[in-house]
Amino acid sequence: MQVGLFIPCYIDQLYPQVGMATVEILERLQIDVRFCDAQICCGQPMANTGCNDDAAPLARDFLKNFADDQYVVSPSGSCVAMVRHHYDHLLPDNADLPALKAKTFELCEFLTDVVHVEQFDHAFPHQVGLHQSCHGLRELRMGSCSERVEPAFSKVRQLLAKLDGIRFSELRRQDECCGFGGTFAVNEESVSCLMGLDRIADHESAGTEVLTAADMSCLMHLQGLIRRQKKNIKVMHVAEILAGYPAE
Amino acid sequence: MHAIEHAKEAKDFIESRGRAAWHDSALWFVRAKRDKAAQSLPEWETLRETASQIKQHTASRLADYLEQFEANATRLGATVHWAATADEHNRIVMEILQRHDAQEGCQKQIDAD
Repeated sequence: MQVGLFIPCYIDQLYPQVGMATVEILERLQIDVRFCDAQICCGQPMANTGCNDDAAPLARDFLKNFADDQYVVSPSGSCVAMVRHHYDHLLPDNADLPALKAKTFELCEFLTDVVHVEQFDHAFPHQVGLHQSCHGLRELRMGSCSERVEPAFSKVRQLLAKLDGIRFSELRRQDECCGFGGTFAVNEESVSCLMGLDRIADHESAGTEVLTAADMSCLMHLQGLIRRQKKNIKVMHVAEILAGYPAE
Repeated sequence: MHAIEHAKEAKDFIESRGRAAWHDSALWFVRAKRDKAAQSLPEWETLRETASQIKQHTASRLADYLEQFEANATRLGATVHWAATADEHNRIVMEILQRHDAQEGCQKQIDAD
């Protein structure tokens, strides 16, 4: 099995260890990982702001850079949601797009739905608070949404539950937005911060020791607030936990 | 009509953390009631999807449905007025009120709009 790795901007610039953790997980599963260093942004920030003309060339680059890979995997729900749900508007009638969409997966989706991972060989003896990022939940359907009438499931939690000793926080609001929303955090700073603080308060009262998610962008927002509030909550991307990185 | 600077208004509102918390819990109370009602109907997602399609269909043919409404209402003895703007709507209503000598009683409602 062969995978082309797509590393989101945040991870490339600010959290490179999440990219390394993703590679370690995939290589441990005997997957051949290729990193195309021509890759840049998926175009999400531009598209979210309505700058479709600026986003379209990035979508074309993505298509070109990953044309020869069997699968494309990214440790980010929102970048994958961009490819799967929003490239259609940017690349209308593109003959190669359906194949790209079908082979592009968020890391936890890929481990669950394609690789069918049975077990991990390490423990994680901590209480984990799982933040369900909006794009992963509502666009990629990586878990059940609280507003829908449907059976409960979560691909991220299902993977984490395979680690010995792990415990989960039961939150009052299980899938509320963290308030980041990309440029929303800049344009609506006050609302964005208060939404983040509300999430942190929920995790704090539920006893979260380690806060995790499939999106580093949500975690970056929450981590900034946690640090300023001097809360005793450690923040780790789910790839770091699944790769066996310690919480200390 | 004046444009609301949402980010600024929100910042002012949030200054009072007690008020923001009250607003949040009041809205969540509505959300929780909605979830409870939704969970009581196993066919909820089917109903929701059907309602969504009806809404999209109707919005896409709104002009046809409005004309159909006009034809039926006229046949039943009503007079249907068409207004392209809020101002035109208000002028028509005012004209009807004045024609029926109801000026004084209803003027306040229109002013308050």
